[in-house]
Amino acid sequence: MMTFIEKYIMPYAMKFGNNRHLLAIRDALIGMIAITMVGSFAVLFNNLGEIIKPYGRLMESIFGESWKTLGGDIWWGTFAFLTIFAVFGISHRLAKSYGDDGFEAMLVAAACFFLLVPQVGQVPDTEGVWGFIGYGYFNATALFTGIVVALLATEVFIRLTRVNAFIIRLPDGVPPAVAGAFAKLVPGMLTIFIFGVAGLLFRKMTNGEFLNDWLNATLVAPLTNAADSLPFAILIVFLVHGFWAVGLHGPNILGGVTTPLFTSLGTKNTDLYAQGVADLDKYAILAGPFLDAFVYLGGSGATLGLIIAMFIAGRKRHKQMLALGTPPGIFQINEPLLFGLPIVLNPIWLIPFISAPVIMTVVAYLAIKWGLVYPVVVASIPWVTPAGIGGYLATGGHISGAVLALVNLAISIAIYLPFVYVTGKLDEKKLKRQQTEQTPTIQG
Amino acid sequence: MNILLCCSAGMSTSLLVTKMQASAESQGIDCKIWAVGNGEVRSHIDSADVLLLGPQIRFMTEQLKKEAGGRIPVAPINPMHYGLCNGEEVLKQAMSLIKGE
Repeated sequence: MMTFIEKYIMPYAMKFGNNRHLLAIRDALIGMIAITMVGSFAVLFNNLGEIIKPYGRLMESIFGESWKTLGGDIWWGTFAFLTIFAVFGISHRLAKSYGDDGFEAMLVAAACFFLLVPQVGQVPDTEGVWGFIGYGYFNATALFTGIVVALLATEVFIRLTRVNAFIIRLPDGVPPAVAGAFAKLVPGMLTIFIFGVAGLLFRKMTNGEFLNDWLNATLVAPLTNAADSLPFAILIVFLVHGFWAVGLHGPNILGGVTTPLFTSLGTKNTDLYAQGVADLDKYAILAGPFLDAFVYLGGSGATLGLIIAMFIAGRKRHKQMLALGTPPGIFQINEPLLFGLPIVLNPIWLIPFISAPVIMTVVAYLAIKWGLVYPVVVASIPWVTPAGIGGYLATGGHISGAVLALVNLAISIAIYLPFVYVTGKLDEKKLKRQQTEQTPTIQG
Repeated sequence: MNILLCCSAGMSTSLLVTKMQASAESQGIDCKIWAVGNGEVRSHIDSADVLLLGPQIRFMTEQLKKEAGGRIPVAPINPMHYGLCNGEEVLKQAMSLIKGE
């Protein structure tokens, strides 16, 4: 069994989990958590006034009618420019993975990104005004373009810095910092030049269309539509738990693919929510912390349900495991259970471990799709937020989110309960057999 | 002696850190033990004498060995000891790795 894993699963885990481009994207987006979280909460607190009327009236009485200005400003400073942070972060991380210090790479990549942005803004009642930029070129809508440009620009830049002919050598007396800047002078200039020419050629080929608009229309829109679907949600959940089944951190390994996707869908939802869009069909379902809030209750495998099932049916037998696993389990951390019980590589426990989250995903997805539960409009909540509270916060303070999380928790308890019972019976049998086997030796 | 633990976010290994510290204290061993996530582990490698990985990210072992450049031992933690938060056994593993056993 172990050799099977090492031979067939580990290579994929290593490919996904160690791919430098996916890692750069994932780590940069995760590193932006302060930005996405404060932006999310700003939108949340502004909109709570509509849901919890007394709170809204209280804020209005203290700060006046414009009490939402601060929240709006914070949203503007974070979400409206989301892609810019991503471009800086991704190129910095990627350059670092090549052993570069990442500073010049980050600036060069940003210049490459900006030069591809249209210079004529679409202002109503005009033919477009030069020098105005729509923020749609900087927010989550442009995230995919930002990722592509940051990766490509950094690759080009790093390759050019390795060409010896481009390094300008300065006399020995020059301070190292100055010499360092000169070493990357030609590669930086060349990278920006190459992107300028590429952007120009691109517009010539597409009759003046800009890279971002073209990418969004031909690639991003169809891809996101395919990704924000029930089959894809099930696939992701199944893969995550498949990796966990053999003791590998599924969300971590697949993070390079899922993080940009969920971030992009989640931040788009937050933007819609900030603008007060009431048509719930416009919101994505598999957005932001959807899985954390409704499926990974107690951690991957929805193991909070298992903990509660153990309290119900196996308190004595699992005393040690409950003492170890419950406190972190409340905060969505479940490694003690996964490796201690263990669930990993255990054919009996793996049945509920994989089936419970898949069923919960279906329930959560359909509940939101059918409008029973408010969509996830807060792009980022701390993943250690306890079950229920996570659902409440993620849906922008809607009780329906907390109810869905609790219904899913009940489902997970119901799925785990029979297995706690069965493993208890099996353990008893094993114990009896051992006793009967031991009896003769004791007598003899 | 500096023992660095690493997992996905540095959360579950930090559970182990407390147990290992308690075990080290009771044995009178002087050491620094801390946990980080795999996103920031690279900047911590230089100040560690040994790097232990949570079993769930053991697919990174080879990669991190390369980054440590053979200067310090890098190994995954035994899953059983990890799950049961057995600080004493993991501390033993760390020390024997440092000694090069």
